[in-house]
Order: sequence, then structure tokens, then C-alpha cells
Amino acid sequence: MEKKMTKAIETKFNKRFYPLDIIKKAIEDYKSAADITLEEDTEFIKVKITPKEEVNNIKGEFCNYVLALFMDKYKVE
Amino acid sequence: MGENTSNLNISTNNDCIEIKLDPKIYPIKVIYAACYSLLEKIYVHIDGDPLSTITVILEPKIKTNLEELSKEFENEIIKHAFYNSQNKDSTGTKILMLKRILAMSDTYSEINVPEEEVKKIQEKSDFINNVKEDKQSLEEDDINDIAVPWEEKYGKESDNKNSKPSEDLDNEDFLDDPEGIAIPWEEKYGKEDDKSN
Repeated sequence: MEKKMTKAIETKFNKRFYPLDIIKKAIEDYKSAADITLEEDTEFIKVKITPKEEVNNIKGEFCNYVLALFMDKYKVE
Repeated sequence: MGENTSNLNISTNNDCIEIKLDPKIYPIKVIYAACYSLLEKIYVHIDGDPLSTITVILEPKIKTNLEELSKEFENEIIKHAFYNSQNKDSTGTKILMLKRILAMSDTYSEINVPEEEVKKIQEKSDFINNVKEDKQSLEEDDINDIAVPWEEKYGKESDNKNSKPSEDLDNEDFLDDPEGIAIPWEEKYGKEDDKSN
């Protein structure tokens, strides 16, 4: 589904499924495409994504990227 | 809208699917793997409690039948669960094979190899050492060089091919041959052609 967006979008990652270091790495890699801020509480990592240009579903892309990084780092089979 | 399919609890909302899975049946690593294999088709987000219920939210990248997508995801999960269980079953065999390979090398003493395996290997190496010792003692007792190979004693056959057989023999060899039995026929009586002439 195409969702072009430039507004800030918020998403939260459950700490029990997504390690903090992976999310930080993803934010670093997304620097050129979006401004991303990170907030942390006991259970969740809240991420606010503001795309620099109109992008199709940047939230979904970011979630997929985090998962791909996680799989790559921990070699889950 | 909601569907109950055994352990998969599928509900479709806002063009996305929410699937609730029991981690006792589908381990978290199986769920990760199934999500990863469909990353090209869907956007995935995982939430919930890894001890009680894991929620997977799937959103298709292009418009598609959500029910079919959920079934595809279920198939992927079962495929990975099967692969995971097969992998678990064969782990023991893989470790055993690896230990055997390592045990054959010099480093086996540094690795935790079962005592039975070490015993077997030691027996093998003892047997080889015994054979080597027997060979050495035989060589020492062999005064007449009976155990010395022919080629070591007289050289290879290919070296002798160019030389004539009569030249190889020393005259001393003929000392015990007063009747000239060892002398070739042609040397003794001449060639048959000479006779006919």
C-alpha cells in the first residue's frame, strides 16, 4: 500500500524483540533520508521519524530495516 | 473481523493483519525467520510478550488478498518450524562428526572428546606403532638382506633396460658354470643364419 509521507511518524519497538543497539544503527543508516529521534522507557523504544522527502511508507521500511539488521547481526535461522 | 485457525489468531484491520502466536508452539526465532523471508512482500512489526503471546503485524506492500497473505505467512512459519526441529535433531550428529574430524588431527587433546573415542584412537595409533616396531626388528635381524626390496638391492628395471643382460653379469657369476650352461645359445653355437650360409 503506497503511503507517501513527510510528516513526523511515531512508532515504538518492544525492547524484548528489538535490541537498542540495532535501532541506533538503523537510525544512523537512515540519517540521509530522515531525521529520527529516539526515546526510551522500561518496555519500549519510541522512535519519531521525520522524512526529508516524500517517501512511501517510511515507517514500514524502517521497521523492515531494523528486522533485517537484527537478522544479519544475530544470524537467526 | 477475526478468524481462529488453531494457534494462529488472525484479525484484519486497516489493510494489515494482526497474527497472535503462541511462543510455546512457534519459538521466537522461527517467527523472526518467517517474517524475514517475507520482507520483500510485506512490512512487519513484532510486539507482545515473548513468554505468553507474540503479535505479528503484517502490512502488504502492494494491495493483495489479506487472507491469502496470512495463509502464506502461516506456511512460512510451519516451514521454518520444521527446519528448526530438523536442525535440532541433527545437532548431535553434527557435533559428533565435528569431534571425530578434530579428534583425527593433532589438536584432539585440547578438545573435550568422549573417553571412548580417545581410547579407540589410541588403540589405532598403538597398532600402527607396533607394526612399525616389528618392521624395524625384522630389518635388524635380516643379515642376508632378504627383506630388502629387489629394486633397492639391484635398482629399477627401467635402469637396466638399456644395458645388455650379458653385460650385467660379472664373470664371477660364471665361475661355477664349467659346462657353459649359462652361456646363451647364439654365443655358444653361432646364429642359425651363419649355419645356413
